Amino acid sequence: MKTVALSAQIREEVGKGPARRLRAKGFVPATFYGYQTEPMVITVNASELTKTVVKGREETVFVKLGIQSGKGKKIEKLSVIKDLQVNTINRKPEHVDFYEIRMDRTLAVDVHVIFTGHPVGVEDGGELQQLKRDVRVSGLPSDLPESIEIDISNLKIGDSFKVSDLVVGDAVHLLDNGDVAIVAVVPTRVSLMTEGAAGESVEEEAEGAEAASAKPDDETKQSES
Amino acid sequence: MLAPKRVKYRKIQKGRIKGAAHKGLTVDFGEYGLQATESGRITARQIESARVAITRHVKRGGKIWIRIFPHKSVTKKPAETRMGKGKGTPEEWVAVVKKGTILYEMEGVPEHVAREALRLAAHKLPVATKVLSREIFDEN
Repeated sequence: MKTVALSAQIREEVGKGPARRLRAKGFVPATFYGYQTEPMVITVNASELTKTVVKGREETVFVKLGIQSGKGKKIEKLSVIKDLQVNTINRKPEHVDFYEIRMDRTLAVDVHVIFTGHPVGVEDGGELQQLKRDVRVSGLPSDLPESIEIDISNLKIGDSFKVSDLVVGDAVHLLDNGDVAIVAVVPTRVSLMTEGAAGESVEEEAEGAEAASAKPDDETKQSES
Repeated sequence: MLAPKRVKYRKIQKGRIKGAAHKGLTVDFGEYGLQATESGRITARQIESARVAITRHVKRGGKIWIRIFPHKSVTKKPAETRMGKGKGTPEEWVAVVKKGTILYEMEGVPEHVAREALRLAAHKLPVATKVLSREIFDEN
């Protein structure tokens, strides 16, 4: 997984008022915690943070935090963004939770699913429905993939790609239910109508052929009579 | 037009819209969404009108989700009627929308088509809106 660097400072004041003052200055209040680690209240630069988080996939990057304490000491910690609060109207970050990563401990994250190829079913008139965008996986941090690619070119109308069909290797475990579909090609009204029309024409042809085969007999019968 | 199938009380009080939405404020189903940036009431007619604007622009393909529903009835007294004599008759159904609510979502169309369709839909609505994508932060 990709690792990005982010500088942070130890926060002296906590609470609603100081947090609001920080946000007004262009900073985001944050916390840092982890397994057997003393929690820290910190602050990060808002613009640096928005560049770090890639397209709504905050868990798919490891953040190397350079935490500057008041005494001039700098501690480096590897972390992952566990939670990110965003203002619903202006979409600016309000608070971040950084969770410390230990390379010897398993970690569970949501990994983005990327599709490759153009499904056969879509060319036949079906509709591609993306039912799941992320899958939850667990494993050692060094083994976790940044994203999972799925080749969907073989999907026909009515087919689906399920979580159990994913190939992620032995080091990574899928935490989602295997029966859950990630992507499916479903029939549309147009495709059903064309199918129906094709079926009718085939039936008509068959009826025509039957009639043609039956006709000579009738004619013979008539001639006999 | 959208309307409830059955309600417990036909006429309900007006109410006040306070604060911002605390649910239904993320793009959950599609790739792009239209978010209300101010609070207000959206009538069933306006919801339908905006939906038609989206489907007309998209023409074929794509999928639309309507994230709001007009649960509330609004009554009106007939014209030139003296005050009193009880509450008027239900005239229309409205959805009470708080700022931050996602109104529509779209998927399966290119970004420029989705943005234009949602822009056209926004013209049919009585509240200020903005188009969102699944990205956490705005590009600017």
